[in-house]
Amino acid sequence: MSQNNYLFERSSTSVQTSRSYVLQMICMIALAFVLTACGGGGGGGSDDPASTASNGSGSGSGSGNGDMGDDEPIDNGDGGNNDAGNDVDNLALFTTHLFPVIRSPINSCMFCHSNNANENAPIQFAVDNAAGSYALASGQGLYNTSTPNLSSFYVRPNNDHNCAPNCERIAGEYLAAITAMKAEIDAAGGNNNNGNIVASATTNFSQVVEGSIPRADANMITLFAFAEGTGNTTVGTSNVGADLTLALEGTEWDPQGGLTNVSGKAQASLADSQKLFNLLSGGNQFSVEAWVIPENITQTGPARIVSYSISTGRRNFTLGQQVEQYDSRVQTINSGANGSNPALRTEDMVITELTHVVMTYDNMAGGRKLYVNGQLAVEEAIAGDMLNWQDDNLFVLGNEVTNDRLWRGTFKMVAIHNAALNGAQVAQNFEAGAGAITSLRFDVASVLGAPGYVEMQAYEMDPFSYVFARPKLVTDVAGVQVKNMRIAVNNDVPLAMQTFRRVNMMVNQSGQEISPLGALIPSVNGAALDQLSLQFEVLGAQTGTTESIAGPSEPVPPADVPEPDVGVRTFSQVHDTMAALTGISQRDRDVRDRYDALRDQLPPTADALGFGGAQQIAIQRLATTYCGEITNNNGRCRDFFNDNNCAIAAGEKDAIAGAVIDKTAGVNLLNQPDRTASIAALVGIMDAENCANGCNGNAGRQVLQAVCAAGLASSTVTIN
Amino acid sequence: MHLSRQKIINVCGAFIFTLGIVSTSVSLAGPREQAKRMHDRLAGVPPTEAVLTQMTNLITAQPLLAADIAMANPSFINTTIKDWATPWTNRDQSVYRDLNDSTATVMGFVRDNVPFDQILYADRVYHAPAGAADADYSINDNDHYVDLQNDRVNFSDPSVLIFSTQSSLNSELGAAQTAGIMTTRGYAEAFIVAGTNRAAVRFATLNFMCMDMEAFRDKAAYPNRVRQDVDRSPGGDSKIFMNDCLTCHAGLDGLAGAFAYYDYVEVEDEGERLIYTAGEVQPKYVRDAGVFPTGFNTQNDSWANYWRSGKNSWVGWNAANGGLGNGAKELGMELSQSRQFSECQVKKVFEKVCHRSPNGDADNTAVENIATIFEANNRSMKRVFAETAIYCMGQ
Repeated sequence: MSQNNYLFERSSTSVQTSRSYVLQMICMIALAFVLTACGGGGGGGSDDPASTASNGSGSGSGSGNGDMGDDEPIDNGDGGNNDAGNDVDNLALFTTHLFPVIRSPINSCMFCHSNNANENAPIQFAVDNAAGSYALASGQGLYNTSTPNLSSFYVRPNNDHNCAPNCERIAGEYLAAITAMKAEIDAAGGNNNNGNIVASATTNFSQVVEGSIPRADANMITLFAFAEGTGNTTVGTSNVGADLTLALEGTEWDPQGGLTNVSGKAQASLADSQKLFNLLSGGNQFSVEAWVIPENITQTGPARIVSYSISTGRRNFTLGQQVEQYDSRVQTINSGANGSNPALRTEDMVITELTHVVMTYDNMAGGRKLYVNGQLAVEEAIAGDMLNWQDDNLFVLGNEVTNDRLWRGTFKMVAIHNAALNGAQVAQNFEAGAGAITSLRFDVASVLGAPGYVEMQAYEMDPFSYVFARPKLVTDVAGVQVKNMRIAVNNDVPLAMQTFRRVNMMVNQSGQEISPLGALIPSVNGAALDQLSLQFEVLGAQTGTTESIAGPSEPVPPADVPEPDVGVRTFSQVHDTMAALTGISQRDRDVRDRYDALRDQLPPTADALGFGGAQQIAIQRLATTYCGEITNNNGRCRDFFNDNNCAIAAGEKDAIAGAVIDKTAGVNLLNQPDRTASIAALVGIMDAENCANGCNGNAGRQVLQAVCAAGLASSTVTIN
Repeated sequence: MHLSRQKIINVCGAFIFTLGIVSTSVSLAGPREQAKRMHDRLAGVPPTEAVLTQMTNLITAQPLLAADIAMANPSFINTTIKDWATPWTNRDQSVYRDLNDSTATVMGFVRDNVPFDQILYADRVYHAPAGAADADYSINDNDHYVDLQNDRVNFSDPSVLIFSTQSSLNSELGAAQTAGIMTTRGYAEAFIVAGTNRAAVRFATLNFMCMDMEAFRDKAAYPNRVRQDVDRSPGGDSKIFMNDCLTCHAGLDGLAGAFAYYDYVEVEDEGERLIYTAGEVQPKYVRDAGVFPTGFNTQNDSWANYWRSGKNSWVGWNAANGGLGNGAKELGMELSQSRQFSECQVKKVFEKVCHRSPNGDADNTAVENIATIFEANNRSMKRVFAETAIYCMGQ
C-alpha cells in the first residue's frame, strides 16, 4: 500500500468530519455553474405549439398492399382518402326518394320510429331531418339499393308491421322509392352504396344462440359450467345418467362467472359420486377437463383441483397442482391405491391466468397424458385397467375429501368424459373456450341480396366489454369479398380492438371462417340494451366506407429550457483524464484498485445538475491516489511539479503552483480560472500547511500531494 | 508535520472553491477554447498542447478535420463510445456493465464508419484475435470481453478489435438470421432471455429510436396480433386493457414475432447462449395461450409494423421496406432505416457531446440537420459526433 492510501485509510472519523466539506463542495459546484455553466439551452426558440404541431391530414385510409390475408394490408399511413369514388350523392337520393316516404304522416312510421314520438322506439330512423334519418337508415342497413325488395323498409310493412290496413300501400311506396334510387345509381354507373355505410342488420344479446364451435363432448358424462351464480350447490349436467350435485363450502361465486374456492371445497354425495364409478371403472379410458385460474403458484399437496378420492392415500383419480406443475394420479391395477406410482407431472406450467387442463387415461393406447392449453404437456405410456377402483370415493373439487389438500383458485368449467380425448379433441375444446360459448348472427341479406349472415362467438368479457370471435360468413352466395369489417355498438364504431378491421378475403364456401381471432368491443348501455351491427368497406358487391385512420401525431419537440452548457466528466473520463494529466498508467496497481473501488461513486453521467458531494469526494480520493503515485516517485515528482527535489523550497512555491495549474487547467484558455489568482490560492495552501518557508522530506511530499490533488480534482478538470 | 487525511481534503476543497470563483464564462470562447471543448467532449480527456494547437488552427475553417483529430484519440473509442453504448446492453440502462460483444460491436461500427443502420441487421460482430486475451471469443460466455476490459486494451487499434460474421461464429445462425447487435450474445442475455421476447423489440425501439412503448401508445393501432397471453380483462376490468394494455401491445406484439425462433438458454455443458430454432416457434410465445384463446397465436417469425399507419406514421418509416417481414434482420432494417432512427442517433450523440438534451428551436433544427447529414454520408456515426461537437463547441 502506498503512502497516499495509508493516509486515507488511517482516518476513522472521515465521514463525520467531512460534512462541512461536502456542503462546501456542493456550494462550490453550484456557484461554479452559476458563474460559468448556465449558458442556456442553445437558442432562444419559442415553444409555441403552433409552430410544431402535426401536419397530419386527419382521416382517410391507406391503400394497403391488397393482400388477402388477415395481417394485411399494412396501411402506409399517408393520410390519403381512399374512399372509392362516391360519384353518387346518396344523401341527395335518400332525401329525394326515401325520406318523404319515411316522414309521410299517412304512412305512420314516424309515430313509432321517431325519437320525438317514442323514445323507446327500437330503431329511430324517422327523425325529422334528412341527414340524420339517412345516417340511421343506411347505417342499419334498412334499405338495399342493390336488391330493393330485400329492404327492411319494404319487407316489414309487407309483413303487416303495425300498419294495417295500409301495409300494402306503404310497402309499395317504400319499394318504389328504393327502386327509384337504384335506377339513378345504376344510371350514374354507381357501385351500389358507394361511399355509404354498408352494414348488417342490427341484433343484440337477446338473440344469442348456442356455441358456434362444437365441443368434443360425445362421451361427456358430466359438465359443470358454474353458471348458478348463487346458492350452496352447483350441478353437473349431461345427457348421460343423473345430474351430479356438489355441495359448496368455503367457496365464493365469481361475479365474472365461475366458482372460486377460498378455503373449502365442492363435494358430491356418495350416491352422486357413484355415477363416476359406474361409468368409468369398468372401461379402459376417461378424461378430466377443467378451465381454471390458479390463485398462486405455490400451493402443494398436490393441491386437489379435481379429485375422485376418499383420503390423502386412496383415490381413483386426481388432477392436482404441485407448485408450478400440474399433477395427474390414476389408480390402476399397476399404479397403487394412491394412483401415484408413478405420478405424472408437467414442467413448470402453472400460471395464475385462465388455463385449460386436461388429463386423460387410456389403458389400451397412450397411457396417461396431460394437456395444457390445448397442447400435450407430458405423457407416460403406462397400462392397467381400473377394475380396482373403490366405490366409496367421493367426487370433490378444490380439496381432498379430508379437507387437507386445499387448492385455491377459480373454476370456470369442469367436465368428465368416459373416453380419452385425443389431441385434436383437446385442442377443439380449448378453442371452444371456457363455459358455454354463445354466438350472434348478423344478418347481411340486405347487402348480399340473398340470405346470409355473419356468425360470431359472442359473450360478455366483463361488465365493460363484449368479445366477438371467429366470424364466419354463412350464405349460398358464391365468392363474397369481405373487407374491413367493424363491429358497431348503437351505430357507433368503437375505436379500439376492432380485430377484423383489415380483414380482406374472399369467402368461397358457406361457413368459411373469416378470422380465427377475437375482438374486444366496449359495451355502452349493457348487453340488454346495446344494438350491435357490422359495417364493411366491402361486402360482396357493395362498397361502403373505408376504415378511418387518424393522421400522424408527432410529439411536440421539447421547448427551450435553461440547462447547464457544461457537464462533469463521467467516471471513466475522470479516470482517463487523471491518467493523461499525470502520466500514471491505469494499469498501476494502486490506481486500478482505487478506481475499481470508487467507480460506482464517480459521476455516472455528465449531468451537472445531478452532481453531488459524494461524487466530488470520490473524485478527490481518486486524485489523491494518482498524486500519491507522483510524489512517491522522484522522477514523476520532478516531471509533474517541475522541481528537482520533490520538495517545497521557499522561493519555488509560485513555480510549483504554476506547474500544477498549467498541467490541470491548461494554458492560454480564457474560460479557465485566472492563472495568477489560482497560483496565489495554491501558494496560500502551502503557507497554511506550515510550508511558508519551505518543506522537505515526507512533509513536503505530503503537501505536494495535496496541492496536486487540489488541482487534479478541481472543477477546472472535472467540468468541461 | 504530518498532514491528516482531513487536512488534505480541506486543502483541496478550499482550492476548488477558489477556482470556482475565479472561473470565467464560456461565452468568451475563442478558437482555442472551442478546440479544447471539442476535444474534451469527444475524447473525454484534455488534449495535449500539440493537439490543441493543431485543432485550434483548423477549427474555424475546417472544423470537421479538427473533430477528426479529437476522435483519433484512443479514448474516443475506448471510453466515449463504450460508455455511450453500454446502457443499451442491459435493462437497467446502467453504464456500469462489463464490456460484451454488443458493446464492442458498437465500438467497432463507429471506429470503422460502418453505416450505422446496419447495427440492427448486419452479420458482423467485433472481438479480439485469437490469443489476444486469456479467453478467446465464445458464444457461450463473456469471458473474452471481460479479459479485454481488464487488460485495458486499446480498441481503437484495428488490429486489436477485429470483426467476423456472426454466422461464422455461431453455427445456429445463418447469415439471414443475424441482426446486428440484436443477435449478439450480450443483447440476447439482456433482452431475449426468459420472458416473452417482447423486450427484444422494446429495447430496440428505446435505444435506437429513442421511443419507449409510452411514446408509441396508440389505441387505434390494429390489434389483431395481440397475443393470447395478454389478459383482456385484467382484474376483471377490460377497460384497463382497452385503454392501456392494448395501446402498446397492438404495435409491440405486431413486431415481436420477429424473434419467434430465438431464445437465450443454458446449453448443458457448454454455457448460456443465443439459440435459433428455424421454423419452430419458441414455447414462450404460446405458453399462456389460455388467457385469451382467440388472441394471436404465433405460428412463425412474421411481423407487421402497425405503427406505420395512424398516430405513429410521423416516425418516417422507409416506404421501401413495406412494414411486413420475417425475422429479426428484416425488423432491424425496418427500424434502423426510419427517419426517427437517424434523429435518435443524433439526439443520443447530442446528449453525450453537448452534456444536455436538445431543446428549443435551434437545437431541434440542429438535430434535424445533422440527421440529414448522417443519412447523406453513409450513415457515419463519426460524422454525427463531429457535427454535433461543432454545434456545441461554444461561441
